[in-house]
Amino acid sequence: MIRSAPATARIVAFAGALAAATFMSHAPALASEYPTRAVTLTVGFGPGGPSDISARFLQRYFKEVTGQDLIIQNLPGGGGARSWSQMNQAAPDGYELTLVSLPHVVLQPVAASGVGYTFEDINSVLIYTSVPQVLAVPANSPIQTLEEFVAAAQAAPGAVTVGGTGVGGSNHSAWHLFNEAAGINTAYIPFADTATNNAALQGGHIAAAWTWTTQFAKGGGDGMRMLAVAAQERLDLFPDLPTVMELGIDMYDEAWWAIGVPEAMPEDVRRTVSAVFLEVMQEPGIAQDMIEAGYVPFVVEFDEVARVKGEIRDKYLPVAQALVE
Amino acid sequence: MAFMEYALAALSLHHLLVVTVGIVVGIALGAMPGLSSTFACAVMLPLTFTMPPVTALIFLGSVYMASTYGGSLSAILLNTPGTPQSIATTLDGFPMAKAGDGNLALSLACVASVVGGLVGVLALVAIAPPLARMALSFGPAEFFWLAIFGLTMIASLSEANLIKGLLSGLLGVLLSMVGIAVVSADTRFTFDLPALVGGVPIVPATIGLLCVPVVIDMVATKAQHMSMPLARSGFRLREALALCWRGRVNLGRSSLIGIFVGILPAAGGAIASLVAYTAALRSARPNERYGEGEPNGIIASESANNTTVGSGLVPTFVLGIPGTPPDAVILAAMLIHGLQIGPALFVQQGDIVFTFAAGMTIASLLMLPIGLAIGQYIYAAIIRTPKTVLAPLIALSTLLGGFAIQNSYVDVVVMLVLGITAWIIGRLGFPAAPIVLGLLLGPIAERGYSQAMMIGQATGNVTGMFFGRPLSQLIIACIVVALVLPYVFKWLVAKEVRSHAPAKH
Repeated sequence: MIRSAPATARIVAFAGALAAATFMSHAPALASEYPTRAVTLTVGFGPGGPSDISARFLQRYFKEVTGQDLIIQNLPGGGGARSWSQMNQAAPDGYELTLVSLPHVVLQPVAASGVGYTFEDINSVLIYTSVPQVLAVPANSPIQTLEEFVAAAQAAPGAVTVGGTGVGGSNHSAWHLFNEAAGINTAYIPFADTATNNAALQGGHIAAAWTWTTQFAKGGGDGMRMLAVAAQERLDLFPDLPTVMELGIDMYDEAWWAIGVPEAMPEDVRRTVSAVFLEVMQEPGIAQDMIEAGYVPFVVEFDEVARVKGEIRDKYLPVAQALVE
Repeated sequence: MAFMEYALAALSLHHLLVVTVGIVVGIALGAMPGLSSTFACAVMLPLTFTMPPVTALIFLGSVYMASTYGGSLSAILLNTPGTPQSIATTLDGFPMAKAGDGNLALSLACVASVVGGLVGVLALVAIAPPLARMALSFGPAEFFWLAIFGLTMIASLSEANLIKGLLSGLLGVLLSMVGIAVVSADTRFTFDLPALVGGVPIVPATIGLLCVPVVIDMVATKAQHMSMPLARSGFRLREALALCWRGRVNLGRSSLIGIFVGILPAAGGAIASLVAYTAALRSARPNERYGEGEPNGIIASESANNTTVGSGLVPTFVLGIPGTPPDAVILAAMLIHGLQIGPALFVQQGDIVFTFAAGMTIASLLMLPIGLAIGQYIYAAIIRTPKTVLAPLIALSTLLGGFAIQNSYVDVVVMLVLGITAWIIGRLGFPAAPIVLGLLLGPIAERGYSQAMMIGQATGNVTGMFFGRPLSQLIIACIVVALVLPYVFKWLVAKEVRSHAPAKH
């Protein structure tokens, strides 16, 4: 049930994107009044990571669509918690927005105590992209396939090291879901960010790592090799890369990014903000640019966001509780 | 020669203009206490969207390069590092300025920065792919030992009282633990304040600890102007060049350190300059008085930090891993401009790499005249301006800087609280520099230790993880030497004195 839900949402989004090409009329009426000045988007991670770069694509096309600047404000700290614990203090006028990572905001408040927010505090108006996670090994690793990885883990329970970013984040969740589905036990080694996680993998300091397809796009990923992608279907960018599911292990794990707004924002403003960012995502070029950078553009419009978020919560709440134990 | 073609491509009028603007903007932002190089690059990033990719990279590179040098201006003249990279520059730069050699110190910093900048670009062009692989051999255990090596510098930062210095260092390490821990997801010392879940923000904390006490002192002392005599006027460029030539071993060693620390992810210019300074201090000749206005201190710090500009781009270009914090902005720029990353960049888009490198060479060279001119102009302005104007101006710049980086009032509060605390405990003999060192190196040591421990436990070889790897052993040897050498020197000097003593009778 969980698996089918984002799939339907994706179809909705895809249909929406197709429709947009022919009748764009549902957004511009509102967009003409907003924005009349620069909009700030707070990103709870440092510059250069997958979250920041996805926001920078928005930044570029936002200017083309609205004529106004989208200012990216990096506020790294606490694995994003610093930005999410403050996002409800933003002005509710549509000019102070926050990037929201799903399922991060489901996992973190449960996996870590005292992060200063709960999942219910987070309000989003539009999901704009997803990034699938991949299991990768160093390029010179003897492990060639996912089967061999599982066999290695079975041969030495708990001794195969698997890196990821942080504790209680998406990589940690992928590690857990994969271990459960494959029936194996490995050692999770947390790193500060995607960059250091990948460096440890490329240097062979860990046997494998959960990371993002974005790290292999644009010629990246030297010194590491993807075994399988935890997406629901193969990516056009990597047509030869099998999914975990087609190899017989029943799991997939992606991250989604959304435009977050403060709780106090009235619904008409929320709809306007959502419509403008929908228009940005429908701009010719942005989808192709993001696909080439390893993203899977995936738009969930305003009326669908609450339902999809609910499904993501239902899937990941048990994962978060398992990670604590 | 192929390089000449790239140099010519880089030498177009358009690029010269971009480089010049980048240098002026970079120096100005870098010299403002509180505005870091990362901030300077991030603020300039949207301007590059309309530029061709290589022009965008050259512009951001120039801003980065110049802001790294710009930080030394306030380090030397005001004893407050303009960027974290110039923390070590304050140690000898300000004493030189007080002794009447401010203009010489500025020229020295400029020359050392230019040399460092060129060495870094050379490393990028010449040996990027093998260098990047070497950086990868640094694992969690090596990062742990490297941080410990950096922490041995506390001993030299606190000559007056080692115990107080160590306590300051521990306070820094303690401050670095605030927030959600990377390796355990424990929330530590946040006192239920959401503002602290992200930890103590490093840049505002550094500004607070090192700049605020200076401003308070400026107000608390009577003199009307900054008491900086001028031994000789002019740029004193010839003297600076002679000093650099005399300190060429130091210059070479510091640039090498800049290359190695620059290519390590999670380190950067601040740590490179501190490590280079520590190394210079450890190999000091008896007539060199580090911490009291030793020109070699400035040479070490400024050449190392500017070398990281080029060398930090090695892992950025080859591996897609930023070597230093501002490189993350440059990485973002590359992805947005649709550039390939990895060895493919060198093979398929080699012209971009080489035109960029040529552009950075020009930027390094242009930094000499522009940097010298701006430096002396600011110097003259600071000496002539009464403290009643200067102190509020610096205070304002510090406050704005602390706020601007993340648009956060919390950062300003952190800056002021730590700054006032640093001033108070400074009066009791606890130095502030070791606090910064602990804050910078504490997380690297902690993460390295925990990760190495976890990997060691999983693979059943904890001892081998920490002590069995050749690179670790090399760093451990450096730590032992750093800790023991001063005592050996003292013992040798004492022996010398004793053997000469009978002659007095």
